[in-house]
Amino acid sequence: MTRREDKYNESEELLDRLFEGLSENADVNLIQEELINSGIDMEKTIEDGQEIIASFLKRQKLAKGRAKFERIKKALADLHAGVTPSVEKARDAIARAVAGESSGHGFQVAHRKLESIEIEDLESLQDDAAILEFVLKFEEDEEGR
Amino acid sequence: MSESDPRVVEKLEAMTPQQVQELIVRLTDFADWSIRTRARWMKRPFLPKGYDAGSLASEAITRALDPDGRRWNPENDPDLLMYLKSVVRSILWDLQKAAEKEALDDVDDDELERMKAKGSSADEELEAAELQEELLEYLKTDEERLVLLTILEGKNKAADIAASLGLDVEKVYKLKWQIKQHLRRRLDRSVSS
Repeated sequence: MTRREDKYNESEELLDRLFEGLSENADVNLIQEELINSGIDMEKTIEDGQEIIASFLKRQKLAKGRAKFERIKKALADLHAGVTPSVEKARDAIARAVAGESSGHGFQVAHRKLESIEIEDLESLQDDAAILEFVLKFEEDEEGR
Repeated sequence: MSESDPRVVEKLEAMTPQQVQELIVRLTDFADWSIRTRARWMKRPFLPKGYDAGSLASEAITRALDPDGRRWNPENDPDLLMYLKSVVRSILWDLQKAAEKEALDDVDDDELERMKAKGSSADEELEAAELQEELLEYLKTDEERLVLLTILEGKNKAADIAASLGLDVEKVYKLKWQIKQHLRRRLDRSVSS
């Protein structure tokens, strides 16, 4: 028996369709038991899968945090450089950077919080450590809400 | 690492640990079935040493979440398990192709021509019909055979099969499980090296 090189052949399609038909509502514990009996290390497979997903979510959280930090840093740099024409525009820009959106609930919340911060305090955020502290404080308040 | 589609993160975060575990078990089940069935077409082992259904399931999850690769897009494929199954097929396809390429190095030109000629649609239909016959032979009772035929006719749901064959739904579920067990065991060939 041979297979066509260029496509999913009819027999493969038939066997996959059969799998779907036979697996409808099959008990997951029975499936796991059957796989273990076939010699598959299901404990390791489940742990590996969970680890891949957990590690992906952790990396995404870090990447999101890093992107947010860079956006805020850029908005503050514009403020220091006098690129932002007014205090209101500066707060808009920083709220956008914090929320990652230019309207919506996240933006409104960030904007309201920024209104209680003096513009001089924002201008004083000059280095990465100070900016990071500001971001963390902002997030802490957010989580404590 | 680049930021991924926020919908992917949202979907995964919404899953409970039990749902994640169930996803992995069902995916591994499909991977195991696919390895066994794909082995039918292979003249030699086509999986790397030590690679099994568990490795295949893990690789599929890794690929589906790779933000720099052909990752899962929940908008196009709302069902993560279905998407992961397509990744399993794709990985197996690549492994089969690599093994076939290697095997072709050992084949003379006449045999190669015969193999190419065999890949027609008519040949595929014949092969699928032969496969159906073979699957029926693997089963032990007429009830199992009738359920298999009904599924092959396109009725997947136990309720539809039960109505069509005049059987109890619970009995159909039981028969489905038995059929799957028989086929998994019989379809098993020399799979890994």
